Amino acid sequence: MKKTFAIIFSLSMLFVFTSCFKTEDSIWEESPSERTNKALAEYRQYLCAAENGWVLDYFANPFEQGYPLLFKFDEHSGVIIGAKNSVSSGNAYKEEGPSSYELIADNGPVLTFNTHNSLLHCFSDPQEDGLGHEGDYEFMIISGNENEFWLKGKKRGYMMRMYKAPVDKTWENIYTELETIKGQIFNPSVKALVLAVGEERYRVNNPAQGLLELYPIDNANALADYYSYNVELDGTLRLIDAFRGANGDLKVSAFRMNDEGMLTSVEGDTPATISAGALNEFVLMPNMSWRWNKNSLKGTVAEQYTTFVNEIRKTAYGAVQYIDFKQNSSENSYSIVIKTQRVTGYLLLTAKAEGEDKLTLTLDLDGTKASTSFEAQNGVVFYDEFESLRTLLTTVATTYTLSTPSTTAPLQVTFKDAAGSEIPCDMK
Amino acid sequence: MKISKYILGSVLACGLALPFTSCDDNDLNPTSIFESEEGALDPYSPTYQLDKYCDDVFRTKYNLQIMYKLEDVAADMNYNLVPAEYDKSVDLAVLSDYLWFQVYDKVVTSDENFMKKYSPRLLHFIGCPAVNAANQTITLGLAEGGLKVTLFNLNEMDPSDVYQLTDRYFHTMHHEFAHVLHQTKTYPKVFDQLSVGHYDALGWQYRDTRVTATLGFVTPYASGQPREDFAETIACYICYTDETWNDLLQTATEPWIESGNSVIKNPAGDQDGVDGKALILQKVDIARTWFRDAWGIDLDALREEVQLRQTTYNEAKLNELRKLVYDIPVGDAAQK
Repeated sequence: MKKTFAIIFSLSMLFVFTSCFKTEDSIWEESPSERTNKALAEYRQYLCAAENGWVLDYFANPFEQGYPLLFKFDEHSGVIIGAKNSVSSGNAYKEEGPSSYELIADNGPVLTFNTHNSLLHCFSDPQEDGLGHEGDYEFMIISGNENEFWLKGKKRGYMMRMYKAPVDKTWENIYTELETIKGQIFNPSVKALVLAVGEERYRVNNPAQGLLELYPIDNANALADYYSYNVELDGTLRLIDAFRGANGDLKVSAFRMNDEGMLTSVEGDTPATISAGALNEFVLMPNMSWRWNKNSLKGTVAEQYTTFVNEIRKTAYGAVQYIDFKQNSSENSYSIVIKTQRVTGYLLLTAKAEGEDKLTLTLDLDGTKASTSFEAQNGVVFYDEFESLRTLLTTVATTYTLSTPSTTAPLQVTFKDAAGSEIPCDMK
Repeated sequence: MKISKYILGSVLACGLALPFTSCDDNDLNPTSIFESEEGALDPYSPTYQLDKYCDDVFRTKYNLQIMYKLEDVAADMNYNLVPAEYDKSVDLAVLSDYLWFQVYDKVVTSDENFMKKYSPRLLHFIGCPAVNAANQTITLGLAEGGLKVTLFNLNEMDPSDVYQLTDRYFHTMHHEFAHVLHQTKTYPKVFDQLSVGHYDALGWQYRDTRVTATLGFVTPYASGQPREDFAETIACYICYTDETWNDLLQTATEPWIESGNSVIKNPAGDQDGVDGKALILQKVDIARTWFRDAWGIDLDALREEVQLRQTTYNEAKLNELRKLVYDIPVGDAAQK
């Protein structure tokens, strides 16, 4: 009995000495609500201090382009919003406000635009299908300072960067500049580019439309992946979300043009580029014509071209208007197109790409003769009728080294053969 | 031996008590977690005039909050919603006072705090309709337990169209308020027996107005269940113009039936055994008696006042009401 008492007593005394030893010191001196209120006040101060407001890389969803939106906050919960896009402003520059914004303590600081401003809220309107553009108007503040905020759409979860608008530009000029930058990055004439990320390669269709439509190059049956993007005033192209590749082990979220004119990844773990890819593959892509720049032809081909155009001009076909190299979709073959004032004809070519920039063209006269196309028949007539054309085609049917001044927008490609002939071409 | 037992017991008790007393010297944080200025109105804010109006007219007087600034946590997150336009919120706020609160204030003379006691605590304004993305059905109004009434699609509201205002908004308000009242003082149970066998809780939305009128319901929604029937009867009786009400009663006398995808007058005459018009009037009479006995309210006087305000409502009246908001001084002038 005594023993039992002694044990219980000893144990109870141990509690006395241990009960407060494990009390943790507070990590923060202030309570959570005080810290949240302090953060909100700090964020409000940053937002209102930006003299010319902020540029938000707004994303509604991954299947449509990003929309840069401009915001000017005041200390009285008023915000003026600027926009220039097809959805909320009919492609014209517009400002609207002041409407109301608030910084609220939710599960962390939240920036909400809580009275209607059509330039923003049209992206959240359900429209008739209940979905609309599915854009957010409430944003969790992930981080913020006097120059930059990272916001996360509260409902959809897309991360968006908001950066300070430069004071020396009007809002309308900011949109003009963003459009210029976008045009420099992706020329609207370029229908397809190549994204190389890690060991994977993707064809990027119609990149100038505002979103990257990605198809794995080595898997013709794969469905497209869509990543909308915004361009920023410093030339950065920012994706709606990090691209992670086929197996999810890659990560790239932003690009910028390097000194060589190639879009190179600047954020993410995996080096990546967006470019025309191999120039010979680019030249062979469908839906693109490569028009001979007749005034810049060099070498034998220039002389032979002149002889041919002088000869055909005297006939009923009229003067040559242009000559194109073109992937002919209906013939599933490469071709050379000759357009005169009155007649268009083409002859089929066999094109063989080697390495990155070598392209060998061979005249496929039998294939042309076998074609049922009127234009192919016209081409055969040209071929039979004009010796100067036959001579020219003998020179043209050779191996070229291709070159271009820009890897993301190779709108000019020069075909140069070993004998020194050069055919500079413009993409049409 | 006994003494040592007591000593041991006392020491043991003290030892066990110590752990519970050793950490009790923590003081409460004297700083409130709530900002002292929370809720204060900023006269320089772009929404100050409406905030001030709502504060004076609704919060102070009726203990009701008008929430026109959208917070998605206050709405159904399954829907894509947008805030109401400020101007439209102003219109609906002043009209809510004029066509709803002031009506009851005027008619209910027995209790000057009637609306403060029984009106909802929250009116929530939403700019767009709640469109169900799965089936594209649209919700224009919601009421939750008599505490919160949500009104949708304000951005499409035409404040010059009193029919639209009544149909979309004030009918809903009177309907929901009827629920609040009967949940506080129950209506006679005999009402629930009047249309037994003709309610369709799951299929009311597929019913035609003419067919439900023939069965003694003021609307298809009323044919869902007795309590909706009661609230709809009151709301329709109050809000419908004489012409609309008489049309309804006339329709109720006719033998409308569903035939395939269309609605026809039954060539064989009325076969449902219900005198629709008499039944609707009987329901109104129960509601009238209940209003009088339970609340001391004259339902006909209520209807008369609503009708007077609806029929005399015009653009000039709207502008006069708007001035109650837009004439509120802002900025420095508000602080004088």
